Amino acid sequence: MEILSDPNSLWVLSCSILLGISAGWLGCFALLRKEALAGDALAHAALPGVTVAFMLFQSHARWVLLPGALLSCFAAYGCLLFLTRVMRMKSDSALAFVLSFFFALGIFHLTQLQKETYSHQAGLDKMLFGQAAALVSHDVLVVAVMCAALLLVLIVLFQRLRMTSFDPLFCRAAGIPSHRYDLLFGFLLVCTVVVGLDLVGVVLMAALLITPAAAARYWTNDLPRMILLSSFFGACSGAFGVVVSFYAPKMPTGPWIVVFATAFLLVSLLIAPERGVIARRLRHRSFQRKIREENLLRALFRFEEDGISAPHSLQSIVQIRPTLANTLDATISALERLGELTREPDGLRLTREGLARAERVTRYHRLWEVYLSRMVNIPSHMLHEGAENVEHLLTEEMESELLLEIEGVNQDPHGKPIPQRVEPESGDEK
Amino acid sequence: MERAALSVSDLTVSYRHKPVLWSIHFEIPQHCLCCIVGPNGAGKSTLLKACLDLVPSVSGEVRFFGEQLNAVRHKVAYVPQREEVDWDFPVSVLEVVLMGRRARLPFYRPVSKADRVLAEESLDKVGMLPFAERQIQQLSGGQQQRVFLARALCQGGDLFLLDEPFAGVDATSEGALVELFQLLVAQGKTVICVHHDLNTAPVYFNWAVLLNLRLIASGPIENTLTEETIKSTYGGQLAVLTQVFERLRKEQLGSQQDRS
Repeated sequence: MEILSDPNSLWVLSCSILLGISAGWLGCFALLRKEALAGDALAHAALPGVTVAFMLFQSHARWVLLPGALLSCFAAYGCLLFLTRVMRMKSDSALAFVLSFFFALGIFHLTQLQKETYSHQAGLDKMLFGQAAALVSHDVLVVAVMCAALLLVLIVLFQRLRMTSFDPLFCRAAGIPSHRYDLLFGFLLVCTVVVGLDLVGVVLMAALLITPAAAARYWTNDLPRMILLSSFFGACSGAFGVVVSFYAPKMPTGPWIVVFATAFLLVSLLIAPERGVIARRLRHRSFQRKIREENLLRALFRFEEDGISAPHSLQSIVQIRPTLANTLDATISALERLGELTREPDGLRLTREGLARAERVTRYHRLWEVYLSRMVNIPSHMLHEGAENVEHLLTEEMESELLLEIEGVNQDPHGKPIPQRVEPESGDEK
Repeated sequence: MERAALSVSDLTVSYRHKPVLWSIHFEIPQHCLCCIVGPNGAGKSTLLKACLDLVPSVSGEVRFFGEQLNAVRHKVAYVPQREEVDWDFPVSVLEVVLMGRRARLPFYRPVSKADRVLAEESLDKVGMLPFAERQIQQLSGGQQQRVFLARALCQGGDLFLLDEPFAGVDATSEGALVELFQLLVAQGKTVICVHHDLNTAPVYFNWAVLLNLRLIASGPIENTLTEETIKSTYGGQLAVLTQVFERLRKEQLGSQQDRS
């Protein structure tokens, strides 16, 4: 690849990867501390610092601009703390105010500078959306060193940051100054934002912090793993963005990085196990299927109970369970495959396994009715509906607990017997 | 004479213009199983937090085992209310308990094998060892509370301060917790709980502090939890005191702003 043969582009590329890793890592903490928006406000607040530093020193070298950005971020952070802690402003209002005020200040300066047409002022408006191709090697070095330092701090303080994010009260009682870690976290956030100015720009920096972390949250419930994934997503988005901007130098890098990060988020939203949309849909579908199966089984069980002998015609089933009508055939086939009923010319017949399951579901239904009427005092005409959904949800564990609470009951509130738990030996009387 | 596990004198706390505690004064001797009782908004949780310096107090002195908190912090274990933390946080049960050990170590030291063993023992004591590798979001309320207690046990203190340990906890967990408290006291520890159920208080505890903005009574439970004290504890808020205090706070705040 062309990009790999040019040493400067290679530097920029590794820089973006480093930035992606540290932003992804820090973003996890920002997400868990519910401070996602703070990163956005701080990033916007970097702009006036950059422009003022440029006006004062007439140089766009990074070692001039970055300290300027740092200072104005700290000023913004100080404002936030003052507004929320001393003046007791709500944090969303404070964030919105600080973000827009500082950004307005920066834009104001930027327009001033444009009017005065300095020859190298062009570099500054790149800070809005980021422009990786414009970076030169000694700027890259500054960025790389800061990223590496950030990562080092994150590694060393990982445990403390996790503790203070999870339970600050406990930490303070145990003598860990958790508010100092809050400040440190703010400091790290500011540093990451400032480092990202060249690559992502002030407007979109927050996306590189939060999007990879939000995507990673869908995949795992374990913080170290979440951080690894988030850093990986961040690094890939950063690298892709830089590659695009290398081949199309007019393109700002930031939006491309955000596009890639968002792609990771969308994919995670869709296909993540457990929390993903598809997994949830599948779970929901299989539960619906289970409900239909069990409703059919219960209908057949009711015939057996009433002494009507098998086979039972489809019409009689639909008569007592109208909701089954549309999906009856599919449900029957599914149960047939499970070996719980057999299809005969005149209708359906439960097998021994089918009868056992039907009995269990009926037992859950009636146990729950008893429980509701006894413990929750639900009037008897409303019992059936309450139990209708719960019967499919109960597990054996819950059944044991239910049995403890309503010991010795063998009839439901409507006077029907509750099938016993012991598997019947001569259950099918056909 | 043995020093009191917790002694509080003239403690006054206010929070956002509202009086929360007014000149509190009491002592809890060691080896007690003590409850702090009072109606909602009586300042029970705030009392614990103020003792631990988690909320600023206007005046007063708090001593643990006769010393300032900083000198004996390693002897004191605090269990916050369950609702104070986000149980969706991606962390395992064992890791939460290990935080009790990590709090005792400097930030750069990793936990040792011995710390791990201690954490597992603590989990075992609360009957949660089989859940060690689970994520905390899968736990029920009672299980969450037991994990918090395991973390406190793992800190290895002599005094346990628990904020509403029975709130939202199932009967099984409640029984297990009480048994464990009694065991701890038998081992020479001191346990102080914020509690709101008057029916169970005399059954579970042997010492009580009754509170409603001001101290109503404190001492052995059979002397303190009487019909009379309960009546004055739950007999409504002190409307005038609240109003006066609010005025006072506002005035003070105003004068502070004038000065600055």
